[in-house]
Amino acid sequence: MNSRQRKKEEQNRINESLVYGITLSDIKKKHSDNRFFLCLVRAILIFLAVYGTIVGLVASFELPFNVPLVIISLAVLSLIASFIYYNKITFYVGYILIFLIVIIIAFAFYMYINSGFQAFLNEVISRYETFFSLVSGRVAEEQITDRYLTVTAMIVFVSGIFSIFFNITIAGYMDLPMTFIVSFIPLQFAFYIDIVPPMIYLVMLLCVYISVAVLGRSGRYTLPYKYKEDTPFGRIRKKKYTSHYYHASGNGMMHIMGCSLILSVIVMLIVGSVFSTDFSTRRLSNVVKDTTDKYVKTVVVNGITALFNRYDAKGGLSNGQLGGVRSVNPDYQTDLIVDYVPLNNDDIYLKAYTGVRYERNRFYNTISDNASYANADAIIEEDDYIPVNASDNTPYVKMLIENKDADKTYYYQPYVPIYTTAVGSPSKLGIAGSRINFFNTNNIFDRIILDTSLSDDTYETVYLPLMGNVNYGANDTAKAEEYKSLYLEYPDYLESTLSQVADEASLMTEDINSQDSQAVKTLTIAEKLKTFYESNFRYTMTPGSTPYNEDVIEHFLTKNRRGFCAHFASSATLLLRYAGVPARYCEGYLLQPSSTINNKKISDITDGWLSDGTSTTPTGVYEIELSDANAHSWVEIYVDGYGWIPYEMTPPDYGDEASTASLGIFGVFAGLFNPTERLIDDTDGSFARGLDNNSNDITDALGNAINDASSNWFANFASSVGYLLLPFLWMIIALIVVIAVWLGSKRLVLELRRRRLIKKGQYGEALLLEYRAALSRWKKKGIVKGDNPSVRDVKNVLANYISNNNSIDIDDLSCLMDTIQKAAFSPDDIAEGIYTRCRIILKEL
Amino acid sequence: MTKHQDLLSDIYGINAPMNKRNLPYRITYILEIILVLLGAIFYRQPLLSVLLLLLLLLPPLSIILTKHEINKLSIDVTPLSREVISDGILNVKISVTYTGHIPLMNCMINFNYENLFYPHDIPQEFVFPSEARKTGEFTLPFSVTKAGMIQISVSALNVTDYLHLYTFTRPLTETIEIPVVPHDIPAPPYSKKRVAASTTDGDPSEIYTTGGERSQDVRELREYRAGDRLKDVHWKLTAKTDELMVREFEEIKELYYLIIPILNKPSPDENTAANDVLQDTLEVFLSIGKDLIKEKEPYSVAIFSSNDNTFDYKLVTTEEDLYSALFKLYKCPIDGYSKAYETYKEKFTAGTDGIILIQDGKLNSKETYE
Repeated sequence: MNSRQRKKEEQNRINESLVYGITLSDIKKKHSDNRFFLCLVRAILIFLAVYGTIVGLVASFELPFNVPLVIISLAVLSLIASFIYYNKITFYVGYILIFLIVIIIAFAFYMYINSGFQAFLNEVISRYETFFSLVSGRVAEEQITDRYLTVTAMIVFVSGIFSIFFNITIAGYMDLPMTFIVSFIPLQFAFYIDIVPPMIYLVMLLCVYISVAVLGRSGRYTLPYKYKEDTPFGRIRKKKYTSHYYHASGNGMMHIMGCSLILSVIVMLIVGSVFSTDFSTRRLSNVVKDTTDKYVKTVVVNGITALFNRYDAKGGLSNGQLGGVRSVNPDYQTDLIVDYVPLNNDDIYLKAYTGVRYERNRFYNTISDNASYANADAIIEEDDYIPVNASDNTPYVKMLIENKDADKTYYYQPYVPIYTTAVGSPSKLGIAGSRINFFNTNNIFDRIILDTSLSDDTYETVYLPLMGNVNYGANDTAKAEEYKSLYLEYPDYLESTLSQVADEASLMTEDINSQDSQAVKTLTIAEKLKTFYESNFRYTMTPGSTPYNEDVIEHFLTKNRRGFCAHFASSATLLLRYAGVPARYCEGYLLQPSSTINNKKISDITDGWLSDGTSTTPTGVYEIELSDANAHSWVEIYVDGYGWIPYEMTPPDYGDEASTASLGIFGVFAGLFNPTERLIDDTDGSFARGLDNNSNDITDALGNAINDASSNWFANFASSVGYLLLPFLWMIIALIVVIAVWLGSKRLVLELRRRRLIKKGQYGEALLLEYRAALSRWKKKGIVKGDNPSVRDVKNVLANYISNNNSIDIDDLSCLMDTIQKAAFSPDDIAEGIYTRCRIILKEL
Repeated sequence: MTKHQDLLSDIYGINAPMNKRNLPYRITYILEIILVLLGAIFYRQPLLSVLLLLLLLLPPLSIILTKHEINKLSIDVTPLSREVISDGILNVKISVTYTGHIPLMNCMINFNYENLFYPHDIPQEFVFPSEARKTGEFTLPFSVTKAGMIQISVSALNVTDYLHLYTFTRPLTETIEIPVVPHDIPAPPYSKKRVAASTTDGDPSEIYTTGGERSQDVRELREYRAGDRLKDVHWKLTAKTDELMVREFEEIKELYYLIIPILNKPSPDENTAANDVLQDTLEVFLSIGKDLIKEKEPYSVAIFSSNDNTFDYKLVTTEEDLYSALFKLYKCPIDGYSKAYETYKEKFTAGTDGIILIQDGKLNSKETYE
């Protein structure tokens, strides 16, 4: 109450005494609570909270520290913090003082505290690396290596800061949500990777939570530190009533704390199974978890600064730009509409952009800064369509492409890779054909046939489906050879990185059988690289950003090892060049007939859509919509005798980060209810689902999520939150047991007492005992009311009751009640026979 | 209150209006549970699930415990003085005895205090903790500024559970009354003539036979009746007649003073808080009463009952009698102007000798009013 309120209250009292002739001043208590004691109780709560949080966290990482020193320091800090609220002066001076102390400690023991931090971070990072199977994390330098000292200093310093936080949430507001958040955030370091602090710390925290919840809600905890005089009472005047209230109860707080401690021990004993070593959140994942994982991994690998150096890409083509993208969020708008007759399920690449020269995070499609290739644009243009031999009866498929929202700079040319993903010798990979410049060799269509009836953005083109029974010829071209060296260049500053990774992947030609043809060698190298990527790298649409001043490819190859198609294609291009294979980086769209959504048949009549000679019976003309999500990048390698062939370097998406697909509202919910996998290593083979899908297309995952969620979302949801039910189940069982034991013991005690009395011959006492038990039963049934009804009252009520029920004779009842009355005055006068008879009547009643 | 609420109140002691106040606490508690539940479902942390469990476990535990422990509470209200002088302090002690082991942090007593002359209808609440196995003693210091009967009544004991979700109520009927004596003022000059008046029904004894001193003249001899004093037994006659005979003496018909205090409480416009004519009347009455006792003059006080418009006479010979009459006066309800004067006028027609009429803080004779 400030001075203004006080004045108002004084005026209220004067008015009241003038009008009513009586007024009530501040209520007094015989034994007023000691402010010192109140502060002490709060100090204990703060101590438990800080100890449970900070020391619990350090202990969970098994770092060494000096326990007595930490306990003493924390006790002192908690006392200082809680005594800030002792009175007005301590309140205004206390916070400044405690900040000064913390700053002085920080300066005086800077080296120790800093090294302690580094030790803690190193331990945390190493555990996170293990948990997430990260390839490399950071290691901070510990200037003082004695962790026993440094960690202790760090604990004391951090506890000082947290004692202030807890002082605000506990002593200031006594607020559970705030207290929980302050303790929950630091503990996430451990809980996030399934490290559980020892039980003692959890009991401490639980005790604090219960105490704060109960004290905060039941009131009687406020310390009126701003009052000059010691006034334990306050007053609120309202229109309808006036409330006089008691500010705080030290004894009450102490007792509640004691009860909370007992309760928290019981709860932890019962639900301790939740934290048992078998319990793991590893496989309990969803969009929220995965998104958090993404940031956590970025921080673990690159430090906190990595969080600020990033932006999202919308999806679609990036024109060779690689750097600065932390995640790709496709917009799912239709970019291209493709009408064609699918003859098989092969992926079809629609190429748009060709990257030649790599410089700092970007693949340029020109080589203009290179004097020897002044005519580079022309080279690329022609080079794209190296003719290869095809027989006249080579089948072709017409494709009608409408550009809705894709980059209009390009025509999107369809072609198929010449290999499959089947593992085997390169010689068996079906190098029987390649993309063929059908336009030049057969002159069937123009390269781009512009139908006048179509709009400017719609064009027709053809592609050659890879058919097993087609005999593709192979033809070398002098032109391609001439410019081959152009596609072997890589920046000097990346040489050491490329060398290191090429060695790791055994890409160098000396490792390859010298007897093989050049084409086989080339494909062997490509295959090796692909395998290397699959086993050492991981596909994700959210790789985190590359720190400033670092090259994207270098960062990807050496540190992050996670990324999407652009990372794989770009790095593969340079690695292949380093290994002597001419390669270039391509961007465009990937058409997957099997999985692309909105796949619809527009006609059964395929006449005019494909040439003669196709062995497969066409099923009809289909229309496929391609969106940003279908944008893709890949590598083209030059194979002697076959020209430039597309090569898929991006490993399959195992679906571990499928959440990024869940961008629609339904997708988000589907993702939340549908547990995803967080593990990299597939120890139990449960990742099989993702392996079959040779795609990096996130639409697959979206499709799966939607299908799963819509088919049996409740089952998924239930299974994903199943872990929550365990403690509840335990608690319910425990409660049932407690109630059963309690009721049983009550009856047992009654029976034992009765028998003892009968043994002693005190039949009157035994009868009274049974009467009291019966009375409480009647009260529960609502037959008898009131706190202490007289025997006569009970008799009347029962007489009325049995007259309705007619089971007992009224005389028996009179006899019983008279005997009870007699027993109450002279219990020794009741004989065994009378007791037995009364007991029977009581039982009947 | 509906029938349903009555039933709840009877069986469980749940006070519906009191429980309305718990609504914000309930809503915030439910919101807390929802937030933690969402956190537990979507963020997947065992610590969150334990917190959730705790949040679900605490309400029933808290309510059951409170319901169980409320019976272990007893309240006692006692004034620390039997009476108090106007402008003094009246201390009332509230003792709360609690035999339970877990403290009840939110106990509340509903009480009211008022001077019966100035009804005060704002209910008061006193919220306090009941510490385990202790008797809490609280002193309520009332400043009393006006004479009258102070009534302090405790109507209910409410105990709210630890989480502020439910309030259980136990009705109480503790009422104490403490009189406040007016200030001592010098008695104003009043007529020293003794009563020579008669009533309209011609039976002046109505006011004189309420008591008096006996003379030595024996009025009659009669048989003994229960309650007769032993020294009045006529032993000789008893011996002769074999029946217990007693002497009945003539009573001396003294001339008394009669004080008629007329307690009016005019509307607040006429009767300002600072210049309260009711208080002045009481002060004048007390001063004259004391003065007469000092002069050893017995007198009667006519206490007007507005219920049946009659006077009740109280003979005063000592200060104790005077206070007794004053406190009886305190209990007479007043609503605006009293009809005492009209009644007096009808009743006392013969004259005003010896009648001290006090009205609006002044002495008045019948004539003055006419």
